[in-house]
Amino acid sequence: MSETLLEVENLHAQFSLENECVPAVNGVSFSISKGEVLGIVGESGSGKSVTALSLLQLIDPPGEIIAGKAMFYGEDAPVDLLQISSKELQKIAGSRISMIFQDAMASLNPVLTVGFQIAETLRVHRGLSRKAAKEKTVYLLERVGIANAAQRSRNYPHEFSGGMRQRVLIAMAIACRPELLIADEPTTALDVTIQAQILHLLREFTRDFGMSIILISHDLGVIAQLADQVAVMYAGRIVESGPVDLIFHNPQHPYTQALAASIPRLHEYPKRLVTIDGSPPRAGTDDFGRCSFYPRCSQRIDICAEKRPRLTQILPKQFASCWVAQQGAFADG
Amino acid sequence: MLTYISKRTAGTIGVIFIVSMLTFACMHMIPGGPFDAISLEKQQLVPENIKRGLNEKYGLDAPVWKQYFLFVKNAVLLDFGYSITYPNRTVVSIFRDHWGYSLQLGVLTFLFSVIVGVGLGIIAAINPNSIFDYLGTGVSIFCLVIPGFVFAILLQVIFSVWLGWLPTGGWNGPKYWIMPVLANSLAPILILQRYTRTSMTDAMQANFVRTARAKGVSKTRIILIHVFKNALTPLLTVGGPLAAGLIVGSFFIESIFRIPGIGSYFVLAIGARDYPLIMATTLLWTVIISIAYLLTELLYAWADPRVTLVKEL
Amino acid sequence: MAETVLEIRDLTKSFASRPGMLGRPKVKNIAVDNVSFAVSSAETLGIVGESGCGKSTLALTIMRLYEPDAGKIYFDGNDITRLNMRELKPVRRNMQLIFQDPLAAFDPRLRVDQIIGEPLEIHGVGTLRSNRDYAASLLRKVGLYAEDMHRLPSEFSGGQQQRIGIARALALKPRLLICDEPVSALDVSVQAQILNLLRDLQDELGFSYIFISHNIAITAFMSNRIGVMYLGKLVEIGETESIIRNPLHPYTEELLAAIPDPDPSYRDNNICSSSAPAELEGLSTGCVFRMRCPIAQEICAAEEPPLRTVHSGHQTACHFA
Repeated sequence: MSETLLEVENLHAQFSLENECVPAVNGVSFSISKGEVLGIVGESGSGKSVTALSLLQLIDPPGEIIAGKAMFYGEDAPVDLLQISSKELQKIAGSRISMIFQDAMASLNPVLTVGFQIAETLRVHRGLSRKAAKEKTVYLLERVGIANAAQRSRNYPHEFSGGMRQRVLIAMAIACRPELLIADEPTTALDVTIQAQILHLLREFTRDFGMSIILISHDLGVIAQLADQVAVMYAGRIVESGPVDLIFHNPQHPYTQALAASIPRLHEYPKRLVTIDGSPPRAGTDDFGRCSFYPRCSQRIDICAEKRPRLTQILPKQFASCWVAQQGAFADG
Repeated sequence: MLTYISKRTAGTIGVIFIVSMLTFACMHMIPGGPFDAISLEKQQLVPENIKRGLNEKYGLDAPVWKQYFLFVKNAVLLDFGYSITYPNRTVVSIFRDHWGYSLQLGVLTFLFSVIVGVGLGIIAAINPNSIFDYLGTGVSIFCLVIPGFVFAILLQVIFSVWLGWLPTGGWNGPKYWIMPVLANSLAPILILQRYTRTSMTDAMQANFVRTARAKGVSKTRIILIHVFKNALTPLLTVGGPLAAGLIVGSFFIESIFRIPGIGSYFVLAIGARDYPLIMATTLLWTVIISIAYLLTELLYAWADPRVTLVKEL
Repeated sequence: MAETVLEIRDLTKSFASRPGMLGRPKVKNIAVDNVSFAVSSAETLGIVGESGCGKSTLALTIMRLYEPDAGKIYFDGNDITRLNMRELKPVRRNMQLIFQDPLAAFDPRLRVDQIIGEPLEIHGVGTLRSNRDYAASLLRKVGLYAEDMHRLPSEFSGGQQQRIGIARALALKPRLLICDEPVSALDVSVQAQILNLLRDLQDELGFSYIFISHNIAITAFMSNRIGVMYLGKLVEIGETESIIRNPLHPYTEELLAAIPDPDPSYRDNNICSSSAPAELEGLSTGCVFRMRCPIAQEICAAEEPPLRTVHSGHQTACHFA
């Protein structure tokens, strides 16, 4: 039984706009163990990105975290990531917890060389000299599969292709061997063959130095290939969680079921795809105290319109927030 | 790189030619000649035969195109002839005697404006909607609303007349620099402060700042290294022509503070139809602006590696 | 026997690009390189490929929004390659485009009814009143409400915006619709709705699609036949099932193997190398895929493999298929 690395409890985050408070994350709790990959699945408005950004206090006004704890265990004394001072956080961010984002081009500083940006992490956190940092940078670039590393470290971000830039971001993120990597849609903008290589790389690092990954994606295929545990988010809450094979083979929440059913599969040739009516709700849409999936759910019953279900254990390892699931409707899968 | 510079220089020479032709043409198209202006000044008509004689002396009786060729021939050797308004002085000597002052005023103004303008802009950008931001905006509005020369006179009244701390005019040492530079800096500070604030704010919203924070880089380092270099490009765009405009002198400031700069010569030459002086000052302006643009482009390419010096022909 | 709606032969489009500093010679980027295929009526031809393969350029060149450098385009049997703008206009009614980013494809100041009515106006079809009724019926057909006519596109969700784009494309009753990544910018749960809509419309109205996407699973769902492009060349083409079950070109195999299977039971652990491919400059000889190909031999560098038929309807450009 692996030890818990991060435990998030009841995270609430909102955006204060002119007349209203738009809740983006509505009470999210999850935990991740050492060496584990947690996949967070969700569409737009689900709050998955805001959840990730909260962990490193990257939510800026008008957004704010209004409640919750994020206890980070690991090699040092436990800290609550949401409460620590920015100075304390600066010591953790980039060295013990790293983050990579979707758009690699926008995430890199266009006027600084790639080598500079990677070396910066090393110099800030490990106090390496310029020379030592340079050598380590070249090593890191090679490790992520970039040929001619020494020469390329002197190039600027716009001189790389999309996949290579994402590798650069990864090199920067793993420079200090973090215990946790938060990857927010890391392969969404990439070609499928490049995506496969990047996922392979991430898997390698998990194996090689026991790094945990929080992998956020809307692509069920990516989640299925990389994740050990899965949490499905909808309208700012986790609606289902459990081990990856159980979630995919026997999903307990109608949203998860519908999502999985609506993707075209390569070797099946249906006439029509199963769809979910309507669109995912925009962040902060009022759900009137009922289940937020109610308007689109094909399995709903009366109580779903009255009371919001809580995330409860449905099967030995699976949790879902659904009244119908609680009645054992999907137990056999 | 060298090919680029030489191509641009060749282009500049072409521009100079065209500007000189246009100026020459416009100059001769506006009604009246230099001696009609003198007539006005002296409140009496210059007799026709004297006028004819003077015209002959200055070669103004020849056809315009011939005058132009003569001008070019001499200009290449940097001989711009004698000023008509100041008959004993060659144009070149006027420049030599007076441009130095304008240059000093311009350089000091530029340095001061950059430090204050860019500084206020950075502070405003880092602390949006704070007292510093409002201070910066306040200063800018002040600069916008109050014309330079009004401010100049105000300064003179307060510091020279009432308080007696500073001399009213002249250019004999640092004490003499303070008020003219202050007054001359109004417009530049306004421009630089607004531009800096905007471009810094834009750069600070960029995703790479988020990445830097996720890397644990300190806020100071982010501002100074990551953000500022990105904010530099828009500033360079504005700074180049600004600097160019400053070093050709300021008519108002120089007049109010009795600085023997070249500003007045620029402005009065046209009214006086002093053709040699007009041509020389216009060409000086053109050359300075062209060099300023070229330097700006080179600095651009240094500041932003995405920009390549490709000349699309 | 279904008739051929569109046929292209050896279609080529290149762009001159000047990299970096002065003095370097112009580099020609051949975006579409001698591509040939035909589309029958009521058929969907899918085109898949990764970024830079030229599929979007292909779409725009077929529509003559880019002028082809070489090759021929036949629409309904007529050569439209060199028609001038006036002659092309009536043909344009029959070929329409649906874009990836629907909002960017609309004039943000126009209301929905104006957006849908614009093609009708340009081609002088119908009267103002009849067009308004027609626009309302189109909206209903794509799953929106007639009342939505008076709203601005920015008031709608991504999926709804794409429906408006589809309605606009259908206004002139085209014979061929080219869809360039029509669902890539949409949420997963909305993608299925739009894909179903596209298929339903085709069943009802009988037009053809060229469906361009980087997502092979979606393309397979939509298409009767699939063509695979790499660096401007069509490297394989055939019936969907044949391509998916029995890919002949090494690139197609690589693409199919790279797709992450939404089934955790099938976790491939070591199918690909983790090093990035060397950056490719324009290759002048031989097979365009040889630098990445696991089975490349000498002949691949010397001779470019032609697109040849391996078994009925299934063609591939590889020496070893």
